[in-house]
This record gives sequence, C-alpha cells and structure tokens, in this order.
Amino acid sequence: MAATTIASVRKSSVIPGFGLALGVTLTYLSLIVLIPLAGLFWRSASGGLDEFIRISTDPRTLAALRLSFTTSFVAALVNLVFGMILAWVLVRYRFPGRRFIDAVIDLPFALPTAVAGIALTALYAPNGWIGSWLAPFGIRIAYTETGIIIALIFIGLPFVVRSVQPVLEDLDREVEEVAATLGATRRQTVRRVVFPALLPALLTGFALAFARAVGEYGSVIFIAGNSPYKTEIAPLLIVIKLEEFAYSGATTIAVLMLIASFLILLAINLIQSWSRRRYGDV
Amino acid sequence: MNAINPIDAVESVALGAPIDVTIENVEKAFGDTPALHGVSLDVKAGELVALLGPSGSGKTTLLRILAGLDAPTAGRVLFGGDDALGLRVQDRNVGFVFQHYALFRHMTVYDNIAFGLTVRPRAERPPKAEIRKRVLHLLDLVQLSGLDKRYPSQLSGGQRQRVALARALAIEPRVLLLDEPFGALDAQVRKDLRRWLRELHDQTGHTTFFVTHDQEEALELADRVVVMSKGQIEQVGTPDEIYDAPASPFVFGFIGESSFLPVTVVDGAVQLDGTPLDLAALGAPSGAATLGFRPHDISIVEGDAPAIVGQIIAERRHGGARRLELEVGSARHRVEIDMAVDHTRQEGGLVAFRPHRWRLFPR
Repeated sequence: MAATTIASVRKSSVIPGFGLALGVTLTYLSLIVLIPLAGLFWRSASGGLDEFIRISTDPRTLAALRLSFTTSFVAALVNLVFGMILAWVLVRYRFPGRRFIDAVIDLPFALPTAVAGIALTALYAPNGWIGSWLAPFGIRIAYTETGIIIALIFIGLPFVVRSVQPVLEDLDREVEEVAATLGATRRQTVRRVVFPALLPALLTGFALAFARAVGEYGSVIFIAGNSPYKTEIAPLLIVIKLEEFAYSGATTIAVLMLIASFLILLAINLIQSWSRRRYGDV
Repeated sequence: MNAINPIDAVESVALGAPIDVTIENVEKAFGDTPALHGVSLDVKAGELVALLGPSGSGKTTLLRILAGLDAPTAGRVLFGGDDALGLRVQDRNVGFVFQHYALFRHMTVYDNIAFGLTVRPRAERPPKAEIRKRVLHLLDLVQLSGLDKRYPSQLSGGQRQRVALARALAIEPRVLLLDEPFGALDAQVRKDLRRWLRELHDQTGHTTFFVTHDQEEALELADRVVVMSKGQIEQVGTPDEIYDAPASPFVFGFIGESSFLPVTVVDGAVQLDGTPLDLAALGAPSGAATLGFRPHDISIVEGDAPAIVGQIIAERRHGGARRLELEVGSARHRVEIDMAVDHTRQEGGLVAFRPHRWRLFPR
C-alpha cells in the first residue's frame, strides 16, 4: 500500500530529479554558507557570554556598527533613486552611446574595490580634482561620512539598475496608454501605475545594494580616514581586531552585523513576497 | 465558465448623449512607411462599427488615432462636429479597451474601474460615495458583482476583459474604442462575450468602434462593417451589403469562403477558356474579369449542360458537406466547392458545376 503510494507520487511529478536537486542544493549551501556561519557563531561564543556582551556594548563597536548601517542605508537610498532614473533612461530612450552606458553600469562589479577607493580618494581629497574645488567652501568629502557614502554609492550602483531594468522592459506600454485615455496625467500615470509595478524590483535592488554596502571594505577604507568613533566602519574594526589577534572580538562584531543584516533582508523579503502574493502575474 | 446571461434591466450608463464621429482624409505614415492613405468615414451617433481587415491593414492605427494615442500625418477627426485632434488623449474622453486587457495588476477590480474617476482634478472628482455607487453599478452591468476586491490575476480572461470594459465605461466616454477585444479569449467565451457586448451596446448606446480580423465577429456584431486593406477602406456597408454585394475581390475573399476564376465577358455572357458558362452578366463590360463564388453557392451539373469542369485534387469533410478542391481549365486554377456528402461522384474524378450566386469583378 505504502509502496504504491510512493510510486504513484514519483510518477506524478513531471519535473524529475527533485530529490537529487534538493540534496545538491542543501549540501552546497551548507558547505559554502551555513557551516562557515555556524563556525562564526561558535567562535564568537568561545569567549563566553560576558565577553560577548562586553564587546557588543563597547562604544567603539557600537559607533562602527552605527556608521556602517547608516551610511549603507543612505547610499542604498541614493542608489534607489538614481538607479531607477538610470534604468528608466536606458529602457525608455534610444540615443547614441546607450549600449556604452549600459556596459559602464557594470564596471563597479568588475573593478577591484580597492582601485575604486583609491580613485575616489584621489578625486575627493582636499588636494584632489573635485576636493580642491570644494575645499574653499569648507566642504570636505574624503575622510568624512560623506566620503564613505560616496564609495558605497559607487559599489552599489549596478544593483538597483539591474533589478529594475528587466521589469521596466516587460512593463506593458498599453497599461500607460490606458491610463492616459482614462484621463490620468503623465505624473499620475507614473505615480499610480508605473511606480507600483516597479516597487518589488526597487525593493530587491535596494536590499542588494544595502547588503553589499554593509559588507564593503576595500573601497571605503581609503576614503574614510578610519578615525575611531568617527569614520571607522565595522568591517575595518573586525580587521583591526584580527590584527590584534582578538579573534572572539572580531567574530562578535561579525555576528552582530550578520544578525542585523539578516533581519533587514528578511523584512525586505517579506514585503516582497507579500506583494507577489497580492499581485500575482497577469 | 458559465454562459453569460442576457443583461437584466439596468439603467443606462451613458449619461452624455452619443455623438457623431467624422474622419476626413486621414493619412498616417510611420517614418517612410505609410499606414493609412486618405481614410474618410462618417459614423452616426450610437452606431456600432467594425473595422475589419487583415493584420497590417491599418485598422488598429485608425483606432489609435481616434483615441489620440497616435497623431495622423494629415486629415481631420471630428467628434460631434468639433475638432478632436487638438485634444490630448486625456481630454478626448474616449473609452479604450485593449486586446490583452491592460489592467492595473496591483489594483483591485474596484480600484481599476474607479481609476478614471479618481485621477480627475479635485474640482471635477465625484465624491467617494458617488464613485462607489458608480463602480458597483458598472460591476453589476458587466456581471461581476461581488468580485470588486479581487485582483486581476485572480480572474479568468473573459472576466478581465469585462473589467477592462467597465473601467472604460466608468469615465462616461463619448466614444468607445475596442481593439480586438475578444482576440485573446477562447472560442466559447468569445461567442458569449460577443452577444453580451451587442446587448450592452443596445443598452448604453455609445458610438463604438471595434477592431477585428474575424469576419464572422464583424458581421454578427456590427451595425456597419468597414473593410480595410493596405491602409485604405475597401468597402463600408451593413453586414448584408458586405456579404452579398462585396465591392472588390478582396472584400469577397476576406468575407467568408471564396473561390476565384479568371474569365472573359463577351456580349454580356461569361466565358471560361472560350467556352460559354451560361451565366448572364448583364451590364458587365466586355473583357477580362474575375468570377468569384462561394463554395456552397454552386450546383452540380449532370449531363451536357454548360458548366465549369474540374479535376478533383483533394476532398475533406466540411461541416455538413464534402469540400472538394478542384483544378479547372488549362491553367489549372484551384477552386473549392461543396458537395452533398451522399452525392456519388462521376467517373475519372471530374466534377461539373455552376455557381448559382456569383460576383463578377472587371480586371
């Protein structure tokens, strides 16, 4: 009886290899992601609970975490706005050099981030091309939070563009035309018809840009100045702890970052799955 | 899906009186490619007009020009005697329904239908209660009562198309424009919706244009049919006129099934390959002509009476008859005729027939 049930279940599946595929997926995820993360937690716990609490309430740790998350958030927000505009221009208009710009978008993916950091520092330092223009007005970018945000905007740029672009390409022009025949102005159409359709993709892009920015190290350390309590990002603090052989300290900060990032990404994913359930696909 | 019931007595939605639409010498070119050549058409208030033609005939372009979604290169469009081309799409007050519904998928059915009312400037926007009343009334009209909280993804194709129609009707359009409204639906739903749309039109009385490439749909639904080909109007007429008196071989061929034979007219009589066919062509000019007939409008000829003789190439079952494909004459022209299923064929695979209804088009 049981045997026939299983056999019939097996037969009824049109796409074969579910067991194998799931096995490979879980093994792979375990090796690449879960086991290293578990090691991280185990390592951070090795100093005992007191040590964990001491490091995680240390003002320097808190300042670094606050800096990392706020600058990443601001950078992701900026990327959200400008990424959407970039995607819009690339999808909706035809102009010479469009392909070139399209290719340039991916450069921050390909460039070693340290190179980006050095280039940005050279530009924005008080004696750099842009920095020397701003210095007389008392505006400093390099070695401030603004500098960190600019570096994070740079490395996060492709995420929003690349997640919005395909959705915008698929967006039916007829939906906008219908809105116009119903009397909606261009602004109303964008706000009430186009934007809601792009929202899930915008959220995805935002989440990716944010996650990338939180973990970014290479490009930031050059432009940040790295003064403790002020412009010292959490990933840098981890490296500093490691160099001091304070492994449990480093892993504790890492665990805190991990938990915070996980919660934020989870929230964004929940919003997305909620919107997908609601709108389905037409 | 259940069959759609006839519309119960519902109060009329169209508050504004229907208007005449006049199209004068409208030309449209996309770059160097002309899409419409001097199209002129007068449509009376409340008429249901079908724009019928194959793809690329310009029918959708014409519809989009009426809506204001495209601008003509030249010509005039009048709504109720007033110039319509000067009006933006938003101000033209037309209801447009696309083949693939173009519903706002992130909005409920209710919000979809209310959209045209809620985007009005504050001064012209009806109060919330009024909008609600009108939306629920429209839902009733399109027989989707109770589905107002659904999302488009939760509806069937036929239901989505009715939501699209209700959304277009909500703004009390002066003209209703439907672009292949049933094109994406399966045959049974299409039939139901067709009858339903006819009843809806009788009730609401909008001046309505609908684009279709389905001649059956056009003939069944429209007050008048506009047959288009290659950016020009081939013929305008009632379904009877279009079917019984097609003005050109194109219209004859496009409306219903048809066969053509090249013939010559000599002194008011039709000849095929020099043989008289005993078909009177009174008033037809002498010279080369095309004889058109429908496969079911023929009689089989026995014996030696004048007839068209053809060699059977293929045969297949066609509804209640047997459809024969024949090669006729020295040039072996292919024609199709219908024959009773129980008819015994002659020896040698030859069939003699004569059309009892036909059209002659001078060449």
